[in-house]
Amino acid sequence: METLTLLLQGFGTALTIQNFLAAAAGALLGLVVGAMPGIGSLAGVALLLPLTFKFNPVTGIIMLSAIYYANMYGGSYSSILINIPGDSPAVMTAIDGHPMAKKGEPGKALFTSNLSSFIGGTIGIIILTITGPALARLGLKFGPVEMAALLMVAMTSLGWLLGDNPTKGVVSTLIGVLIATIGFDIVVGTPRYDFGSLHLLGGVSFIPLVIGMFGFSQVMEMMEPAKNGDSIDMKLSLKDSILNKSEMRRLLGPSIRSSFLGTIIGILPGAGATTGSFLGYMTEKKVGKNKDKMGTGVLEGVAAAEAANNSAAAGAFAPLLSLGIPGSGTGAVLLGGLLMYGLTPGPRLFQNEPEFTWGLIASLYVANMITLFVALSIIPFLIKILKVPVKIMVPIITAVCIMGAYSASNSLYGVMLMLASGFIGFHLKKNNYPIAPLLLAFVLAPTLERDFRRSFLISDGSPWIFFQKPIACGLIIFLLLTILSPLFRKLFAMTKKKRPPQGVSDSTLSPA
Amino acid sequence: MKTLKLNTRLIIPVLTFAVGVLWVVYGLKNYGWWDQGPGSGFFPSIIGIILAGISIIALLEGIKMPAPEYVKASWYPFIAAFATVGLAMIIGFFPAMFLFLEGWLKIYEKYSWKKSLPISIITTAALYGIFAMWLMVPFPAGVIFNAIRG
Amino acid sequence: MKKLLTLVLMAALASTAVFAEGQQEKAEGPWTPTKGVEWVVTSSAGGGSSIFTQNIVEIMKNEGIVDKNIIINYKTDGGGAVGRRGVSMMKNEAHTLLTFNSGDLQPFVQREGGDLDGLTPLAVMALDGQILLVNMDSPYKSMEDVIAALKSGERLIIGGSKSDDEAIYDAMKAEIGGDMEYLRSDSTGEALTQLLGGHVDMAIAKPAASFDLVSTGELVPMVTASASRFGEPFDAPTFTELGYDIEFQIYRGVVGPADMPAEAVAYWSDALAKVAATDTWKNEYINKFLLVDNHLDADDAKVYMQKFEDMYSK
Repeated sequence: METLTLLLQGFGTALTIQNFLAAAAGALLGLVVGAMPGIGSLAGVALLLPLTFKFNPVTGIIMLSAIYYANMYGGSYSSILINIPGDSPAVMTAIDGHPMAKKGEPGKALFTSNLSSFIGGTIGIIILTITGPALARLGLKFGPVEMAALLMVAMTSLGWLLGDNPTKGVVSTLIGVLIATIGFDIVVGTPRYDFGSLHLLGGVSFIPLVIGMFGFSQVMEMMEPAKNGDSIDMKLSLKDSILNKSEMRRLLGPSIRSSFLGTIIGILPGAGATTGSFLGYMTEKKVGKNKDKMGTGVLEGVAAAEAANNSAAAGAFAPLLSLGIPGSGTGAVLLGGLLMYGLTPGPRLFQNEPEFTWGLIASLYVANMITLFVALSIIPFLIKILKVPVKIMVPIITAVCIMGAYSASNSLYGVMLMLASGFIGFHLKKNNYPIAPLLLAFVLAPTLERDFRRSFLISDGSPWIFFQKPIACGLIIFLLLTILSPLFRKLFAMTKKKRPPQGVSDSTLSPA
Repeated sequence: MKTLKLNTRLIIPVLTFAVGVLWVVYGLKNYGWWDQGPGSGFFPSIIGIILAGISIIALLEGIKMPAPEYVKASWYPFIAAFATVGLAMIIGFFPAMFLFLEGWLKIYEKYSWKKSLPISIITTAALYGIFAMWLMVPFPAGVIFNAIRG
Repeated sequence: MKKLLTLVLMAALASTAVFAEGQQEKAEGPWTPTKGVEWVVTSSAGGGSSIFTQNIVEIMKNEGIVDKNIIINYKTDGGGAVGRRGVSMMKNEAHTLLTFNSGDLQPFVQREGGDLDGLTPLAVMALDGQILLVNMDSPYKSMEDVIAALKSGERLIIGGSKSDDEAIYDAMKAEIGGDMEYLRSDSTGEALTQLLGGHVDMAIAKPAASFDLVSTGELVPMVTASASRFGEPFDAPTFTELGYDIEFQIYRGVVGPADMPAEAVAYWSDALAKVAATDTWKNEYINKFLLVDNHLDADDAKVYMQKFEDMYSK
C-alpha cells in the first residue's frame, strides 16, 4: 500500500497548472517533430531536451515525457495520412492505417492510433508500477541465445505479410536482409559489403531508406493520372472521426492484448519498439477476430501495432529506471536528461528517492493523458491534409522528403540514398513487390543474425546451446511445432477427410 | 499523357539474381563462412543463394505477366529533386526549395501567381521554421552565400 | 493549408534559437573566429560525445570564451567515417572543429585509412578509466581467480563496447592468454545488461556507466586498466599491480583539420584550455561523469594521441 500512497503523492506533485501547460506544450512540439519524416523519436527527444531545462525538475521531466510520448504518436500520423512512416515502429501502422485513410476513414485511423497508443502506454506504465524492478530482472534473462530463439519464432510469422505473390514477397524480404548486412559486422568487428565506400562503412541508414521507399516512390506514383488518388471527396469532420460503440469494442481487444505483449517485449534488452509493434500486429493477425481483413485497412491492425509500440516504449523504461541501463537510443537520451536533473537511475533510485521515482511514474502517466488530449484535438486539422489536391501535395511531399533525408545525417548522402531508394521502391511497387517486408527484414534481421552468431561465440561453436537454456529451448520447441503443425494437419486431414483448415489458433507469442 | 513500357518485370529478377550472386561471392571470398560458428559471410551467403534461386522463379513467373506501364510524368519529381539538390549547393537549401516549389506549381501545374506564390512561400517558411530554426539542422548555405560571407 | 499554418505558428513559438549573424569586424592582434563555427560530432545526438561537446559549447558561450555562434553538426554517415574524412580533407579551414575520442581514432586508423597527420589535435579534455566487472553471483572473487581459471583452460566470455573497450581485451589476450572471446556490444549499457543477466563472464565498462550497479554490489570490480586505483566503490587492483603490463586510459579530445592555420590552432587550444579551467566544466562535467580531469594543450595532445595511434596501428 505504501507504493500506492507514494504514487498518489506523485500525482499530487505532478498535477499543477504549470505542469499541465508544460506537458501540453511538450505534447504539441513532440507531435509536430514526430510527424516529420526523418526526425523520429530519438532525434526528436534529443533535439527538444534542452527546452525542458528551463523548468524545475518535476515540470521538466513531465514535459520531457510528454515530448517522448508525442513523438511516438506523431510517428504514426504521417504513416496514416501520407504513407510515410515517421519512424521504424510506424511501418506496421502504415499497413492498415494508410488504407483506412484511403477508404475515407482517416479520422478514425488517427483516433484509433491515439487511443490505442494511450491504452498501450497506460498498461505499460501500470505493469511498470506494479512489478517495479522485478520485471527488469526478468528481462535480463534474455541473453543472445534467448533473443535469437525469440526472433526466429518472430520471423516465421513474417510469412503472411508477403502479399498475393509469395515469390515477390520473399524477394522483397531477402533484399531487405541483404541491404542490412552492409556495414560494420559487430560480431567480428570488421566491416563487410562496403565495396570500398566510406559511406557504406556504417551501413545503410534506415530513415532515408524508409522515406525513399514509402514516401518518394509514392510521389512518383501520384504522377500517374489513371490512379484516382486525387483528394478524397468525403466529409471529413470531427464527428466522423469519433469511433462508435462497436468500433470501440473492436479496438479494445487488440489494444489490450498488444499492450501486454508490447510491455514484455519492451523490457527485453535490445528488442525495442519495432519488434514490439511487429509482434503485436502479427499476434493479432493470428488470433484476432477480424484477422482475415487485416492488411486491407481495418482498425484492429492500427490498434494492435500502436498499442504494442507504445507499451514497448513504456516497458523499455523498466531497465532504465531500475538498473540505470537505457534500453534504446531514446532511452539513452532520457537517461542523459535525468542525469542533468541530478538523478542517477539505477537500483538505488527506488530506495533512496521513492518520492521522485513515483513522482516520475505519475508524471509519465499525466503526460500520457495530456498528450492524448492534445493529439485528439488536432485530428480535425490533420485530416484536412487529405483535402489538399495531389497537384500541390506532389511538390510539398518532395520537398519534405528531401529535407527529412538531409536532416537524418546532415548530409547530401542521405538525400541521394533517399532518391535511390525511392527509385527502386517505385519500380518494385509497379511490379507488385510489397515494400513493408523489405523494411521490416532490414530492421529485424540484423538482430537475429547478431544474436544467433553471438550464441555460437558463447558456446564455442556448439548449436546445442539453444537446447541447454530453458527459455531458448522452450521457444525452439514452439518454433518446431509451428513449422511442423501444418504438416501434421495435412496428415491428419488425409486420414480424416473432412476438417476445416481454419481451426488452429496458435497460442500467442508470449515468451517464457 | 504519354506511357511507355519498361520491362522491369524481367529486369528486377535479373538484378536481384545478380545481387544474390554478388553477396555469395563476396561472402565466401572475403568474409568467411564458418569459424567456430557462423562467420561474417555465413548469413549473407545463405540469403544470397536463396535470393538468387527465388529470382529465377520470379523471372519465370514474370515472363508470363504483362509489363507494367509507366507514365513519363513519374520521372519528373525524380529529375526535379536532383536539380533542386544541385541548385541548393549553389544558392542554398531554402532558396532552392522555394524555387522548386514555385517552379513546379507555375510551370508544370500552370497555377497562377496568386495561387502558387502563397503555397510556396508558406511551405518554405514552415520548412525553414521547423528544420533550420527550431531543430537547428545545419543546411548548406550554398557556394554563393559562402563566397559573400568570406 | 491550416496544418501548415499551425506548423508555422508552432515553429515560431518554439524557436528559441536565433541565427545571430554577428557583425564582421576585422580583428586586430591575435586571430579570432570571423564567422559561425561548425563543430562536427561523428556519433548521434544524445550519446557521450554529444554530451561532451554540448558542455564545451555551453561553457564557451556562457563564459564568453568564444563570441561567435557554434553549431553542432552530427555527421553519422558510415559510422562517422564520412564526417572524420570530411574534416581531415578541409583546406585552410579555421572554423571547423571535430570531437575526436580514442573511440573515434581507432576506426579512423584501423578501417578508414586515416592517421593523425590528417588532423590537428587541439586538446585532450578528459580521461576516462575502464574497469573489469563481474556479476555478484560470479564464481570469481578476485582477478587472481580469473587468471587462475584462464590458466587452467577455462573459457571466458568478455563483454564490452564496440569501440574503446576492445583494446583492453586485446591486451589481456596478449599478456595473460587463455581461452577468451570478446562479445562486442553497441554500448557499455548493453554490455552491462549481458553481464547482469549472466550471459558473459566479465565486462569492461566505464565508471560512470556502472556507478550505481557497483555501489549497490550488483557488480563487483576486479581490475582496472588505469595507472592507479580508483576510489570507492571501484577500488580494485591495477593490472600493473598484478604484474601485467597493461595500462590504458581512454581520452576525450578535440581536433581540427590538418590544414588549420597556426594562429587558429593557437586560438582554439587556448579557448579549450580556458574551458577546462572553469568550475562549471569540473563540476558539471568531469565530476558528474566520473572522469579524470586531465587537460592537454595542442602540442601535448598530439603526443598523447600519437601513442594511441601507434597502439591501434600495431
